[in-house]
Amino acid sequence: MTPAPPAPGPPRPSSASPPGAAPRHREGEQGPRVAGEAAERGTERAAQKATHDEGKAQRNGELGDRRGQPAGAHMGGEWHGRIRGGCGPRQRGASSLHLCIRAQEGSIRVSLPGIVNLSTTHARLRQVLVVGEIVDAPPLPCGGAWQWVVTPSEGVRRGTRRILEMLESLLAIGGLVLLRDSVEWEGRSLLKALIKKSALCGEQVHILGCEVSEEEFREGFDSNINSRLVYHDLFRDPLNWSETGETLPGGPLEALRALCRRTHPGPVTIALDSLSWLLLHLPCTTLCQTLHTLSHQDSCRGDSSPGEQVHVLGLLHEELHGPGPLGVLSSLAQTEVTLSGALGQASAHILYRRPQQRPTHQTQWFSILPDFSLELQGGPPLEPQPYPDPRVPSMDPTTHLTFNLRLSKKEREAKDSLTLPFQFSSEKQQALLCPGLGQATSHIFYEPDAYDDLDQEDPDDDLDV
Amino acid sequence: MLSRNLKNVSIYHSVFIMFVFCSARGRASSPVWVADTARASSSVGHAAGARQAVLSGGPGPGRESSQGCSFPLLGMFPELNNLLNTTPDQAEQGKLTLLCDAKTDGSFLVHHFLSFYLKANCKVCFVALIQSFSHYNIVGQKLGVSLTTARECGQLVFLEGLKSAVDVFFRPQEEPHPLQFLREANSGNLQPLYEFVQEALKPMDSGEAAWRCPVLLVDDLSVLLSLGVGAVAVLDFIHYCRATVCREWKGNVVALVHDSGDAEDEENDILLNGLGHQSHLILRAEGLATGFCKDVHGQLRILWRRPSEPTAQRDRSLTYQYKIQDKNVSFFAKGMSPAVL
Repeated sequence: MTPAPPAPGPPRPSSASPPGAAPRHREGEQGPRVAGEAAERGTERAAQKATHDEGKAQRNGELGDRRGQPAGAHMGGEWHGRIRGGCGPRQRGASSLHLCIRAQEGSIRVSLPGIVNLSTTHARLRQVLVVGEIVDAPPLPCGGAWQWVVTPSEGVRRGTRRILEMLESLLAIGGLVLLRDSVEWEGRSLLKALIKKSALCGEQVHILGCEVSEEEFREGFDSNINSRLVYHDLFRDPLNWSETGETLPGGPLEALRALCRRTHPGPVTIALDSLSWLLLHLPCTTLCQTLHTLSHQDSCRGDSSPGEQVHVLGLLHEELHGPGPLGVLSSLAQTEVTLSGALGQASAHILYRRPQQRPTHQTQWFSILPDFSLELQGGPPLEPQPYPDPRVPSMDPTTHLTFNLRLSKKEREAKDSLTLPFQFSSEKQQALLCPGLGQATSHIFYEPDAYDDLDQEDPDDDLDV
Repeated sequence: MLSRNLKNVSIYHSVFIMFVFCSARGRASSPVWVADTARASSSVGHAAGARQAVLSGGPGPGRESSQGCSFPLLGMFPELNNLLNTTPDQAEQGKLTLLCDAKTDGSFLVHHFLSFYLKANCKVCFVALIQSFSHYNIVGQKLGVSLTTARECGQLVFLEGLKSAVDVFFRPQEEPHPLQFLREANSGNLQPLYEFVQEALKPMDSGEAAWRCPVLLVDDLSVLLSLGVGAVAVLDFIHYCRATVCREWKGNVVALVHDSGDAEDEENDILLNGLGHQSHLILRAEGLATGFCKDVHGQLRILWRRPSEPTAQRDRSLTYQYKIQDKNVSFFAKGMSPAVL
């Protein structure tokens, strides 16, 4: 076997993660989440190297190119690791996988260039990635480079990373995110927290405001976030009652369609505050069609990369609508958050509908801070424990009684040995099954006299026949 | 010498009593406040203070004793003010307050807010669709405000729905009337009513502001649904009122909506929930679940939405039970009615 220095020692499937396998988060790395970049480099490398060949030991020589560098070296934020699957180096079916791993804040992107045999790869990769779980598995194209997004599992995350998790996971899928709130648990603060998160990620945010005024909506955001927000005001005069000519002609529908036609390139977030207002003023079908075009805008562009998604955040007051419109909007949404709570603590029940996967549920307890950042809580605050009343000391209630509650030893023995009349023990069973010698079965001796008319069909002689 | 001092003292008292009579302008008087005048006038010398000190006397079994503040306590329900943490001179601005009642009559809340805002020196536009002017006037007099006086000096703009509804049919159609929707066959919008409110509460351009802030009071919105207006139209009306009165002019809007409860009224539910989402404070008067009681007339749930200071550990929801008396409403915690303790 070629003594390839980067070989990870005796190959064990479970620990076949790349050397130094703890996912190295580049803390300061704020690179844009453009997945295309790593994919391109992967394909480049795949073209340079020999094509994937299962079971060939020649694989071991591949890393001769990089012999000068230690294993797991970060090369511009990536490292190439070689993973040997299977039980032995030369076993048939053993395949080694070439991984390009790019560590970013909070996630690892794994790209596998030029893989031909997909199912094996999938299985091998699952063995490798035991520290995380594969969250996003897009359909694998035949050949070429593709990407998996791996988030470290719950046990790995600690502390502040959990705070980002909920907002990021809500924004990860793209499409329509539906926030359903009620009078008691309002959802506008969560909407503003999501807007703040999107703005901090560098996206431009368009807000169609129908229910609150612009000053009230911008309250609480600092100036650099406010500069990224574009507020389309439908609050002051939506129905053109004041006839000053300030409103958009065509009303709310035209305003919504104008958002569809925006030509600004780059990722964008559209917040609709609120969808309930739009549902009450527009026909449901029109609204749903417009929402569909809004959230699937990137499908019409030819070469859209998954990084440039359109996020549509819609706030819906669920008590105002019947089950029909609610169901339609719910089926349009890729992520649905229902807000409720208990004991003063808000909770969000999140339903993720990722493409080609089963819907997943999650419940999070959270609170929103005044600067619209999210803080996750453990659960509702427990009821205050009723403390024992300090005034009354616990005393034995069986003292000073006028009757006897205690048993002497003989009485206790007699009590224990007593068999209860209706208790079915084995002795009783035997007694019933085998009638004893001394027991006499009971007989009835009856001698009818002259006046008795024994009728078998009417022994009591009371039928009126 | 002693007699001379006594004579001076009696003149001193009589002058102040007359002074107070003139400034009280015919308010209902009781012997109790005469003594208060003598005490209070020594500390507060001018007419306004004397008048206010006068009104702090008066009967009221559940009422707290005079807190020594310089504002009249009679005239609204002081215990409700305490529960809501407001006083007339510190009334919040730019808020929508929703009053709703279920299985009971919540109109005492309307009377409270009417007298509260009149006392707070605000310009009030009252759209009264349920009762006549004299009804509100009589109840207002028990609470210490005179609606006739307020209307005459321009502080109160009163739209009496019962009277003016008839006018709609007997005037030429070209002139817009606030209740124009009664003439229309299909459910129109409430734009004429909104324009009436706008006209009434428009801030005067006469330089100094005579009144503190504009207030719109509606009693009540459920009757508009019964008159054929759609729930969305009523919501639009309140939306525009909020945009103009609350946002632009920093005033307040208070509206009463009846909750149908068990009766399945979808339009009413849409109206109630839609207003609930827009409002900052919801006061909900409910009858007791166990039925009618002589000593406890109902319970009041207070829900604050969008608290102004999110960091303050404020109770977002409170529940109190109440009993309505002749001139006052007394509030107590659940189960703590004085009648049962």
